[in-house]
Amino acid sequence: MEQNRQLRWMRLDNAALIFPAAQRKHWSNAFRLSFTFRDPVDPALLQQALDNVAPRFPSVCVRLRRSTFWYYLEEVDRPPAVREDSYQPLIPMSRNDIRRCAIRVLYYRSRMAVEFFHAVTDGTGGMVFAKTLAAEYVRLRYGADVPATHGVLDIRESPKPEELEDSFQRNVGPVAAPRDDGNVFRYRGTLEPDRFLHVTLGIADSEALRSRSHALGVTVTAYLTAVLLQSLLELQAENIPRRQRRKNVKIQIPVNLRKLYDSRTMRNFVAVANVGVDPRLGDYTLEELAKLVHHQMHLSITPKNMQAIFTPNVTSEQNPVLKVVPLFLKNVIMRAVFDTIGERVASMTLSNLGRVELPEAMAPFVERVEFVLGPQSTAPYNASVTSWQGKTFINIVRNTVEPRLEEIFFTKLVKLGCRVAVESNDRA
Amino acid sequence: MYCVKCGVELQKGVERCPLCGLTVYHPELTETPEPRPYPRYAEGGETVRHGGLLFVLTVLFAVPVLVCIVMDLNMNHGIRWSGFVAFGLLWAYVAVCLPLWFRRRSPTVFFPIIMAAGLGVALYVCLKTGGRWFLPLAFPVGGAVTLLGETVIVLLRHAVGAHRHRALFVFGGAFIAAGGLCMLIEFLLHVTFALPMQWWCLYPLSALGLIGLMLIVIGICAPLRASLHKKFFI
Repeated sequence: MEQNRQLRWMRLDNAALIFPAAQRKHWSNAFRLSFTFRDPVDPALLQQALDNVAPRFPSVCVRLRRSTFWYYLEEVDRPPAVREDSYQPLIPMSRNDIRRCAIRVLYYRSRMAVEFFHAVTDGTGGMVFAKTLAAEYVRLRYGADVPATHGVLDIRESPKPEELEDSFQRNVGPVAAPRDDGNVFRYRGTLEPDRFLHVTLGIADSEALRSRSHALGVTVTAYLTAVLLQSLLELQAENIPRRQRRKNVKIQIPVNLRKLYDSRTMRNFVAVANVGVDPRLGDYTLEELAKLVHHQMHLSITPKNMQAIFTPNVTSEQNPVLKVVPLFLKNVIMRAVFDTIGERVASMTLSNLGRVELPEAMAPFVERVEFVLGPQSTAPYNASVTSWQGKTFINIVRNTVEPRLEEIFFTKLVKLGCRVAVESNDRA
Repeated sequence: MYCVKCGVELQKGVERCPLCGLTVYHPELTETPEPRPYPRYAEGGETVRHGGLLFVLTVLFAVPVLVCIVMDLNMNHGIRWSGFVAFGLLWAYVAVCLPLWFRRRSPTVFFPIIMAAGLGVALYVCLKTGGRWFLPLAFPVGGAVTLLGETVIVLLRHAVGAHRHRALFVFGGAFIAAGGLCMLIEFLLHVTFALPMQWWCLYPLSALGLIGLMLIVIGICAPLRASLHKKFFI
């Protein structure tokens, strides 16, 4: 690597501002993307691939630093060392970890995984990085000539300015949408005393899921959201028998804004659509839920509505009074805001990165592509979905003892006729 | 291999269903186990539950309270001195044992509760002894101490973080504020009991102010901090 080169630094994008402030000792907002190859991973080649790829992604291979008024991201002078994976994904990143590098590259048997602190990028940006890293690894390991297509970037090119931009600032609108209220069901099980994170992976046949969702006239995301909503309703009914006391059940669906606003940024550019139902109104069939989710998503996911959702965050960032508040005070304020309203608008998140596409030259070497979203700070569950080569990988994480939601959800899918294979990082 | 309860397909060789916990028992299958999706869990230390100890502590607090009340009722046919004992022990219980009942023992929440309990005891003593010092003296002093303590706790928890030297600023400010509190106490004593203003508060104010300033200077000056850390680290 070139010595003494000028390291780039950049302000945090608007969505990233909250994550360093909200971080705590046992929780950091992070996600993981992993590729499982045909053969065991060679750590030396993976390190070499990372070293080759890192300069192409100056906004991803970064560390978090502080100035007087804001955090900022600074390019690392050398990429992090690849490490062997642990007994659980997404071990919380400490402040010291993030100060050194805000991503981790891990390997275990034939799986390569990249874990991102969410202030760096979102799922879509992370997937571009992970695909490019996997492509470079495949090139080094198998000698395959992988073209820079299907989301794989050419590592010989320089990073483009539009990849480094904060697209929120460019697309801010005139009107702010009111925030959702916080009256939602949030499951609280028995916390694992050592904060162990359980991850349960359900592997379902993509075609079976697609045919069932199309039979109801909805997308796979809407279908899975409806099944998850029904599972959460059931879970709430078990915990709160009196219907009048039950709260709304809502699921947060992250929406990739790049398609709506023609952006090619590698940084966070995501907003969320909240879909849900009021359980006090009665029981819902899956058909009803699927239709409700479908229509709520269509109402919510429009350029104008999404703009109104992220506009208040951008205007707060641009407020001249807030700008001059010292960072340590900003952290206190932002953390209070995050604890009060940040996560309380939904019961959990379901993030679907959709069908993963890879260049034909590397596809034969990849057996799985998985996405694991970390849990919320105060609620135990989150779910994330990817689909690769006819299989849909549904990862549900939890930091509580009881696997009740997973049990209801996957059993429901089986009863609906979708064959599901389950794997977990159980301690047994 | 499938779970007979959930209907999901299981990995070869797993001992129980990860969803419902049902033990998998297939003696006729001799399949080699599939590799685990993650490395095996590294055992941590045993977790200790305080439930039993707390029960014993609660009984230990309750026994003297009940004995005193029964003795008082027997001797004086009413609650006289035993009320002081009961309220004093109740305050001690709130301060020592109450936080232990909760999984999350946030000082931000429990410090004001303990201070409020202390003020409750003071109110009881004031009413029982016919004093008129609660509202003009104990309440404002207790309130100010609570406010100061709570501010220190909140700043330590939320503003210090990994930059531990910032705690010096917090404590420095707290020492100076405590000096100011002494002035308030002397003033309120003067108002409540018509004591002459002797300005004794200036002694603690100057001492606490100097300590506070020293802590702030140490917080600002990194080489001094490093030198002191080298001398006093534990």
